[in-house]
Amino acid sequence: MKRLEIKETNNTPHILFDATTGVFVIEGKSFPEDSKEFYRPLIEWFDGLIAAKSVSELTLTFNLFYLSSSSIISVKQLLMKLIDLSNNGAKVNVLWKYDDDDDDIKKTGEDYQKITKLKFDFQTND
Amino acid sequence: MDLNKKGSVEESIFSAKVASIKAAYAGNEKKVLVSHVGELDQDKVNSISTLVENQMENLGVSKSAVKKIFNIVIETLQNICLHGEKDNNGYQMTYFIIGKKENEFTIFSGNIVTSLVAEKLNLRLNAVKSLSDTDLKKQYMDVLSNGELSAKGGAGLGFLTIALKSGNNMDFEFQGLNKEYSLFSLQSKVQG
Repeated sequence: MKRLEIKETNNTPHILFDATTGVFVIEGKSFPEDSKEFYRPLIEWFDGLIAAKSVSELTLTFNLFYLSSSSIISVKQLLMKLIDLSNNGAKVNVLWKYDDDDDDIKKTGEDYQKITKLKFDFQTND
Repeated sequence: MDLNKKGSVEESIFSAKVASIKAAYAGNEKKVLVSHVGELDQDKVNSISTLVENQMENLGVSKSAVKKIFNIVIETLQNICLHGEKDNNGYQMTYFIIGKKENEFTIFSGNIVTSLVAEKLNLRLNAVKSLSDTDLKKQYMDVLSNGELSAKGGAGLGFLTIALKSGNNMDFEFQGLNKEYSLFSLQSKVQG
């Protein structure tokens, strides 16, 4: 799988998906003008990963400071891909990082955990 | 409809609304913190949201209140970008104002909608306003579980998010501009 990296902007997060090194990270703020458009390559990248059947274990790390409502739906759609991956036999984890006093982002992670039933680990930033 | 034409019926109604909001924040312990009147695009959404964050931090507002206000600001501005109608000249008339009265922050916004959209919004917002906090959260989870983005990119979570962040302290109004269009005004409050 080709590495996917998208640089952070004022309203979109930094993305790094690298199957070779096993790094899968989404970090920053997310309120793109068009969430569907921004998250489409990420979802397609995971479709490719699922089709390749080459990954047996994966941890996707989120470290977000803000998510707009349309981003919240797009991230959920991305998490649905992790469910597919898990159904294919891969061991899938989500590492949900947040600032200690940021109850909003923590709560969003808990909502996702409830809906997807994926394995979530919560970790506060130092 | 020509919203830039000084003295047109539509422009007069719009300007009077903006003036009345600003007038309510003249005087002691009151202040207009942010005011944007005119067109909106994603660049302006970015600059306004950065300005709001900086202003709130300078005022020493608690981090949780800043987050709530920031959430409402983004949802409001992106709603307008997606759905605000343009006039005959392609001009999208909008206003966005944050007023501070002692410890209370009110986020005001306005944009033009067609009469048909006004009817739908009226139903939707009345429905959201009638929900208890528990029902708001329940509906939010339902949309999150089953929701997909619309063709325009709307999530169906915008008004629910504004209601949740403001403790359902949300009000709205439609003022007819002419046969086809109305000015849709929305306000929500957050305690700092």
